[in-house]
This record gives sequence, structure tokens and C-alpha cells, in this order.
Amino acid sequence: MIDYSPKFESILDECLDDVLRGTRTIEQCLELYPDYAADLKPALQIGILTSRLKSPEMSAASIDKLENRLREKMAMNAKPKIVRGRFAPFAKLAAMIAIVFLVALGSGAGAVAASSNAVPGDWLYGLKRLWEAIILALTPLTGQVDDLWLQMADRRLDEVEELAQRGQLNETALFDLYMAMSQAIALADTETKPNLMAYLTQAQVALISIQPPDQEKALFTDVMLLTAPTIREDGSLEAPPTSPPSRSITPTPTLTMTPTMTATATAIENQAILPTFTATSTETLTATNTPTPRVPATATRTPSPTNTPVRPTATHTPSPTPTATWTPLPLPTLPGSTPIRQPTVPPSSGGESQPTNTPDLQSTVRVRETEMSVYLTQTAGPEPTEASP
Amino acid sequence: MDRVNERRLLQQAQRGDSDAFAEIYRENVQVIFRYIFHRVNDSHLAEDLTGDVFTKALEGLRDYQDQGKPFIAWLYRIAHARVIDHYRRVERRPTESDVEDEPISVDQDMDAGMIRRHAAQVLRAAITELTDEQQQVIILRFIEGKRIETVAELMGKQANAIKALQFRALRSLAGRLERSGFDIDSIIAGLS
Repeated sequence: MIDYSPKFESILDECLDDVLRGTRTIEQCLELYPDYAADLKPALQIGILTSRLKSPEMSAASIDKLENRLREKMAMNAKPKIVRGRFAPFAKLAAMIAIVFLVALGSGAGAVAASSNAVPGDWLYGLKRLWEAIILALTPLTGQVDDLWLQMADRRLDEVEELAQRGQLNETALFDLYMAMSQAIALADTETKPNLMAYLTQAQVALISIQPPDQEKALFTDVMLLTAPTIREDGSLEAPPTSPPSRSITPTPTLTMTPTMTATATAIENQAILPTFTATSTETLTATNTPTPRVPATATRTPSPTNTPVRPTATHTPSPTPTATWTPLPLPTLPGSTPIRQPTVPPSSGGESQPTNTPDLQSTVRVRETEMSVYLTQTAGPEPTEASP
Repeated sequence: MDRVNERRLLQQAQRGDSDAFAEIYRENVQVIFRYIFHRVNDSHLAEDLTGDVFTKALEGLRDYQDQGKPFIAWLYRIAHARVIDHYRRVERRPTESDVEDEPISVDQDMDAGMIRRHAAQVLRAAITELTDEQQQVIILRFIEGKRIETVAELMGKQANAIKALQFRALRSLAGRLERSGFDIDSIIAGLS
């Protein structure tokens, strides 16, 4: 009977070593362990036969080919990963938080959709911004960051307008608008620039009708400046050097009677209020509201060809969506003050130019400079005196 | 390659040194190819699976930790897993019927060389029918010529367990050759 004990297995292993190394023959092993000979013999024979099995070699060409493949793979692994922007370190965490949050809400997609119109202060606004942060973290992978920042800037503008209507415009909303605009301008390329310019024009018109809280006027000025970026020689855009934006600084005394393009629903039907200003030697402004006949409810800009200062006039219409007409008129020179910059756009034959949806780039910028000059003059000047209408 | 040199190359490879990894690869590629060939008994398939093994090794290199065993032990484990995965994918393994379908019966008219070649063919096929562990032991012990202690280290088992696996594997192979009608004594006697 065969003994399958560890002792036999050790004897077999010892004999295999000897036979394979050639220090003993099979017969010598069997003589050494006659009690196990019957079982040792076939095992030793198979051991020898197996050790004599020829093994094919992998061809040199196959080895080289595989090595090249491995080197290529190593080179690919060594390439730097796509930079995912400043949100990258938080993307995974943000995604996890978002998932948990959405699951907790029980209707994740609906909640995100519902948050799209939220503004700062709304309870869903945090979700809206979290979702944006996730999108921003992932978008670099698709290479459309510039488009996304333009969308972000547009959203921030909507929020600022909404808050301004509620009378709740605050520093955070303006700062976020500033940051989004800066990113959109900085990342704009040839394809994005037309959309960006259209957006900036829209933003300028929208912002100029907003009366920011006194304490936010400096920041508001920074945002306004961003709407008129410098055009470099190569056609790229450069945001005005206002970074970082002014935050939480002492407000500059400004006009409280808005001689800007402000249109409100309180305007009397078929009448428009034309603010006029009288500058004195003490550089105070006197605002006088003078009813004027209604003008067509289209935005018009009439640049003055002269070097005399211009002043804006605002026309209020009773339409549900207020529209503004801005007709810069000659202003009396302010004694001792710096004349307002003049637009260089030549006057149209009719004395008014009709803006289009796709304004000429240069004229748009020039008109914007005029608007900005007026705006800055109005916001940076001394405390005005409001005159009786 | 001694362990010190191997460890140095591994550290360099883990830092992205492709030359270091290439040296490790060239040191081990034939060993792994032979191991896989004897597991699948097909040289083309063995080449493909060998490529898979080193690709997997490269992918896992950053996470590889030296636990005092030679690097080839890790490669063997990957190769073993790849072979098993291959058979899972094709949903079959070589079976007794596959071997018996082959014209391997010993013919009285065969010369000794032809008989040995047939015996080798049967033996190769029989190895692929062993259990996974028995195949590993047979290949490492008799194809690669390693001592039982080394096989135990590579397989992560005790030497006595390897001795038991070795005996059961040899007995199984011997039975397979005898059932095929081979006169093992004459084959052994004919070996130079």
C-alpha cells in the first residue's frame, strides 16, 4: 500500500532533486528507498520527462514590440493631467456633497431646475452655486470654459438685476458678477468675443439703469468698468486694471438723484423726465426734472461731435418693460472741473443713431466710453443738490 | 538579477523611469511567457497573455509594495489570474476529450523520437488538465527547475504543502501517460 505521508513526499522531493541535478540515477534512488520504489519510480520518471519538455521562447520581435507598447504606456501616464481649474481639488467633494444633498431632497433634478432662478438670499441659491461649481470643475475636460464663464456672467447679471428690482442689491452679488465678468473677458477667444461683446453691451445697458446702494457704489463702478474692456492691438480683450474689485470701502459721495438712464414705472404716461444738471463752481450738481414729450420707445444714442461736455437725458416710458432713451446734450462747462470725455463717434444724419443687436465693435466701445464717462462723472462727483422739478 | 538591484530598478520604475521598467520586463518576460505557455499550451495565446500580464503590472506598479518576495512572484500571480480569466472568458478549459481526440496513441511502427514527441504532446496537454495549483508547481519545479522552497515562496505556501501538490501532480501525469499506452521505461531509456 502506498504511503502518502509527508515522509514519502519528502523522500520523493529529495530523489527528484538528486535525479534532476544528476547526482543520482532513478535506480539508485529506488535502491535507497526500496519500500517506496513502486511509487517513486513513475513519479521520478514523469519528473524527468517533464523537465525535458521543450519550451518555446517568445520571439525577439514580439518582445521588442511589447516593450515599445509598455514604454508608450509609461510615457502616456507620465503626461501631466488636464488642469481642472481652481475647483478641481474640491470637485470630488462637491460632487459627493451634491449627490447626498440631491438624494436628501428626494427630487434632485427638480431641485436643481428649481434653483436656476434663485438669487442670493434664496434658500435654493446655494444649490444653484454648488451645481455651477461642479459644472465648472468638469467643463475643462470638454474645453469650453470660456463659454461657461460667459454663461456664469450672464446668470450673475440676471441675479444683480433681480436683486436691484427687489431693492436687495448687495456686495456679494456685485462681487460675484465682477468675478464672472473678469473670467469671461480673460478667457474670451476669437469665437467667444462677439458673444462677449454683445453680453457686455447688454450688461452696460442693464447696469446703467440700476441704482446701487450707497455703500456698494465703488464696487458697482468696478463692475461698470469691466463692461468696457480695452481692446488690445491683437484684438484680444483686456479688463480694466481694477482688480481686486473694491469691496466694503467707504462709499464715495454720489448723486442720489439719478441723472442716468434710470427708467421707473412711476413715469407719467406720455411724458418723460429729463434730468438736467447745473454745475456750480463748488462742483455740486443740481438736478432738475423737466417733463418732456415722449420720444419713441427705442434706445437711442446721439454722440456729440463737439468737445463740449455732454449730459445724459433719461426718458421714462410707462411701458411694462421700461425702455430708455439717452440723448446726450451739451452741458455747461463745469468751472474748475475736468471736462467729460467726448465720444468720437460721428453724429448720424438724423442726429440719433439706432443701436442694433450686433453693434459695430469700435463704435460700441466708443459709445460705451461715453456712457462710462458720464457714469463716472455722476458717481464720483461731490454730493449734489437736488433741485425742485 | 539580485534582489538589491531588482529593488532599485523597481523604485526607479515606480517613479516613472521607463528604462528601469524595461530592464525588469526583459529580465522576466521569457519566464512569464513559458509559464503561460505551459498553462494554455498555445504560443500565440501565450504571447497575448504575456502582454496583458506586463500591462497589468505596469498599471499596478505604483501600488506595488515589496513584501520581501521577488518581483517575479507578483508577476506569476498576475499571470495565474490572467490565465484563469482567459478560461473564464472562453468559458472552457482543455478537457480530457480534447486530449483524447488528438492522435497520440502509441503506434508500434513509431520510432523512438516520434514516440517521445507524442509523449511530450500528451504530457503538455495533461499538464493543462491539472488543478491550477498543481500546474503552478509542475511548471515552477520542473520547467523552471526551482527548488521546493523557492516554489513555496513564490506560491506563498508551506514547503510541505508544495511537496504534497508535487506528488499528486506527478501521479496524475503518470496515470495519464500510462492510460495513453506509453511505455515510460522505454521513453526514459531513450533519453540522451
